[in-house]
Amino acid sequence: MSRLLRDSRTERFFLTLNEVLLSLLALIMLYPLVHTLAVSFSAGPAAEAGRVYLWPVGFQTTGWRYVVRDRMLHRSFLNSVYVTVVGVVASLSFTALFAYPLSRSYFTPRKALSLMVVISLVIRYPLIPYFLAIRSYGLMNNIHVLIFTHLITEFNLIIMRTFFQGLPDELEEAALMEGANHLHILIRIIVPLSKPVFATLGLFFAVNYWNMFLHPLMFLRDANLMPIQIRLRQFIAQSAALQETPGEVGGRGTADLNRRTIEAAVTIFATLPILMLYPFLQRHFVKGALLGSVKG
Amino acid sequence: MRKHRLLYLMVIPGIVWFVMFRAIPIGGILIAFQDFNIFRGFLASEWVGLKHFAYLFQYQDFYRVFFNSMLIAIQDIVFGFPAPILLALAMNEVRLLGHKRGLQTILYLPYFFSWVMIAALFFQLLSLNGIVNQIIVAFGGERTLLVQRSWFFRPMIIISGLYRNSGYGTIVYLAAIAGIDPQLYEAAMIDGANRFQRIVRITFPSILPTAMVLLLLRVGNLLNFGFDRIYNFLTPLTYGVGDVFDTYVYRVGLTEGQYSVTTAIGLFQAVVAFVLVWMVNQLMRKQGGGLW
Amino acid sequence: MKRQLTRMTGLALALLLLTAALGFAAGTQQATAPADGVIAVEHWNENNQNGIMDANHPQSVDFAERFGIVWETPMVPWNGGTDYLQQLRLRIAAGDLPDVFMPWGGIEGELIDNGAVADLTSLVREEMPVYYSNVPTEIWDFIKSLSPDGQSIYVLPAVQFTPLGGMIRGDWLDRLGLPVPTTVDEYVTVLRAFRDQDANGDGEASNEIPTSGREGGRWMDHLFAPFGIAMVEGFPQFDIYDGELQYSAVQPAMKSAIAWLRDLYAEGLLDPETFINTNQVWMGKITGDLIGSWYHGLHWAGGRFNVLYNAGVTDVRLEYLPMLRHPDYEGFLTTTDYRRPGYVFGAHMSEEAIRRTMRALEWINDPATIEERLQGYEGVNYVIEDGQEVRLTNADFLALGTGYRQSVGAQLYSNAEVIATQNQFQMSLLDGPDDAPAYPALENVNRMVDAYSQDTVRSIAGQFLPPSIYEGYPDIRTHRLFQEYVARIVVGDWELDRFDEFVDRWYRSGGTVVTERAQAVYAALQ
Repeated sequence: MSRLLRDSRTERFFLTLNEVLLSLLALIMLYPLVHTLAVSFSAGPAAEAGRVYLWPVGFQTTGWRYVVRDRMLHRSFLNSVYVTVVGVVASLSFTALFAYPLSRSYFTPRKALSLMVVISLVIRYPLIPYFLAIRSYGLMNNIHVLIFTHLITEFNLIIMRTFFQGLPDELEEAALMEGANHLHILIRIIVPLSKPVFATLGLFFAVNYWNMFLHPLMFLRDANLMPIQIRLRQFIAQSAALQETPGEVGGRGTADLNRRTIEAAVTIFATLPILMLYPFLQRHFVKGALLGSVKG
Repeated sequence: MRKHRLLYLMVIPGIVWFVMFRAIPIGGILIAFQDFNIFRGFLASEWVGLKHFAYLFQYQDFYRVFFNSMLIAIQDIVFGFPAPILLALAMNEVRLLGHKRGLQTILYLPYFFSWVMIAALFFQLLSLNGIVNQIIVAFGGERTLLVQRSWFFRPMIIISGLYRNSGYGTIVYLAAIAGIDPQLYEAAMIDGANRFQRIVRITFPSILPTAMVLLLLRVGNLLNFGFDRIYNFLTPLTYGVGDVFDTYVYRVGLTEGQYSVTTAIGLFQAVVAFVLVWMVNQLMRKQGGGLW
Repeated sequence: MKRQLTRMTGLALALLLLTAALGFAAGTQQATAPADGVIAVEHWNENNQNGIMDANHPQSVDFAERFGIVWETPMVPWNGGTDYLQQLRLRIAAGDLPDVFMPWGGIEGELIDNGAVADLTSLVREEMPVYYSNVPTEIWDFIKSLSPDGQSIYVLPAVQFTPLGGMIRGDWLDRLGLPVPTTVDEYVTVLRAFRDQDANGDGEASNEIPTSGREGGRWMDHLFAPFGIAMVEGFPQFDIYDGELQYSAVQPAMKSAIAWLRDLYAEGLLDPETFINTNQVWMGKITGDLIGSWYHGLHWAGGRFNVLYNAGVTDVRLEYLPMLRHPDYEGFLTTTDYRRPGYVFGAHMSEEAIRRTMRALEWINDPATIEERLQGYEGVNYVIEDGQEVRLTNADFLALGTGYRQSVGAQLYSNAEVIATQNQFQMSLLDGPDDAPAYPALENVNRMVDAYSQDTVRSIAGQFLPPSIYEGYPDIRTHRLFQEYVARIVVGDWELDRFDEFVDRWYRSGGTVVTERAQAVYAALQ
């Protein structure tokens, strides 16, 4: 609609300025990724000595060859994909089911339950009781413990509830009159109207699941169950420990030489999938315009 | 009422979840009133009443830690809360869709890099040969190591926080903006409102409820910066200003294993946060909002 | 209505059940049950160093045959010891200790007091005779002092030869025609030359950093040693001062050391970024051919040599920097025979399991088996290609994804000969002296380690203090106060005289109590 009416000169000036500033900002924000990529393709000594900035120095692909070869890395990658995909679906369903009643003004326990959520948000559970409780549910060394513990997060629940609150009561009143029940309403009316918020929270949940570190650390023991972040940190720790080796048997210093580039390649490998998620979700943000037409 | 009975059933799984994964573990907060011993467990540990709280309030550095934490927390809200809103509003005005999407994706990139990497980046930029010092020298100034100046510590924490989190924070707002009825804009344009007026009168008010809720959530987590965020920027030269609850709990809890003391600190933080949330919520209720 | 209710409940239940079913069906990984008579031993240590291992690992298979145990090393992230310690505490709280593990952060005292670990007094003599006789008696005395009756052994100590010392770039000295400095004054002369001239020969006279350390004033012990300060990796220690056991950081000698450092800093001889150098940045400067002299593990120096050589500095040579003599102080390099507790055994273990595990540990730590151990296992340490044995490098271990170290299981005992044998073995695998940089790097390391062995190195009186002396004083334990003052005084933020304030504050904030405890323990040990 912005093309319907012509912007004034000053407006156009500010719009251009805005875009230029945002682009500059984007360049700054791009730096860590570009830098890490550059390191991952650089020669070991240059990376080690911190001489790499935006462009590889002494191009080589050693780092990426390790990424391709490390079976444990692939395993942990698949674990993370599994937890993220199943986790996002489960979390969104669980959260929506709880958020919907909380958003309805005629649902009497609404206030008490909201207060409960806020209290649980404010108080951090002490670590040891938390660990012992979850252990007593028999969830140790079970990859789904990562999902069970994150079916709901207070933050996402409150955001979803707030969004549902913005949807007018008339919508469901009509449906209730026609004999639909609340679950129908949630699935058939509310969810289709809430694509932007589902896309947003889906992303938030996905990021949570993907970046999980503390929970697998506490509850998983088997190396084959570990998600990617654990493997990444383990990798970085191992590579840091390399500098404190008496020397390697039969080696010619290659690991020492390339540890930074390997580390960078693994970092990119562990980060890229979640980075790619947002562009895919973006169209849902624009499609949210649908909401307005119903309201009208 | 009968027709809403289903709603009661719908909350049951959620309540069960909260009891299992929150209420029961939070019940463990009682160890703040014990000399909790991991070998003996909760039942066999000795009850000591308010001993740990008394210890905390007598500990000289506790007030420094509290003061440091509050100062960073307040600045973090003052700058960190509006930043994603402004960024989202600015991004919403980008004309080309492709450009807009590209920008969004790039702006949220830093969020995915660990604090270790972000801190390394800041230290590099601020090193003696870093870009900041080159600019200072170009303008006739003297090279200086800002990262070891006490006064620069808080700004550095705030700026790095903005850098890492602002872009990610815009996502909620962009979703909220996407939900605005286009007819509102059309009506405003017919009334002759210019772009700026449309932002002030339509876009901003439309995302305000979301913003208020996010503000409340932020206040609820006021004193938890996350250990990594602070620790990676801390040097012995900035201990005086950078010692906050997270770093303190780390020392007492992880190196000493005094879980009762750390739980007491956690409870104290929770009380402070809850009081603040309650006040903000009261204010918001007067405006017809609020979380409960 | 009723029908809908049932459907609704059904759906919710289905959702719950589905998630639950998924959870229990697919989630739990069943470990392969060990063969008959073989005992599975869960083993934890700093596995950055040793990698993870399961029952299928060649070494596990070997250990099952040799000792009748499956040696399982799960992934326990280390993260400077804090992640490790946290996981260990969680397992203690759950009453589910690992079988054999390295205690960390002083937790061994609590473990013993609460009866959580096994008494090894007679077992260690029977099953680990070589290790038992290799560990000096005074260390055993200390280990026994940790037990309630003062006579029992609950902990196997780690006794390692760790040559930490100063290094200086020999090729830089050659370029400037200077000898290796031996006194504080000579050292300053050399540092000035590094600062003012093009010591690294890159055509630029101003990019050399004469000497440097790391965050928290760590890894620059070579600058404190001339003043007779007991210090380990930057942490001041307890030692005898004025005939009494005291904290080295509150001695007048420390004030002199800080005064000297302050001068070095002001003169641009000490890296201006020394207090903010992270490990990565510091290593980057060293391997970037920018630092002239530094302090680190001499036996680890091969890595730096390799990187420098491969980056084009083919004439790189590292010289051992001797303990610098000071006219007014009797300097020494600090060492500790007792590094840390090595292993404890969970009290829940059967005697047979302990015995078998000990036999394995004895084998790992017997200097006589070193060649066999270095030879390693096919598929881990080497592969056979066309009938030829091809050694795998550390990098290949990374790629194998099963951890990367040749030797699994922490070393509890090593001496100078063990290090020398290791290096000899590695050199024997190379194609002679021309095989650069690996061969000259190993030669260089050997030369420095030898020189270190001849130097003024002293084991300090405070090496046998149990961590429990710090209980209740985390700030004293972590040396925070010292780090803050030394950093701010050296960079010139604060006047030198504030050192006296530090001493006062240190004593008042718990130093007095900790010193008394330390002295009591020390007196009891004597």
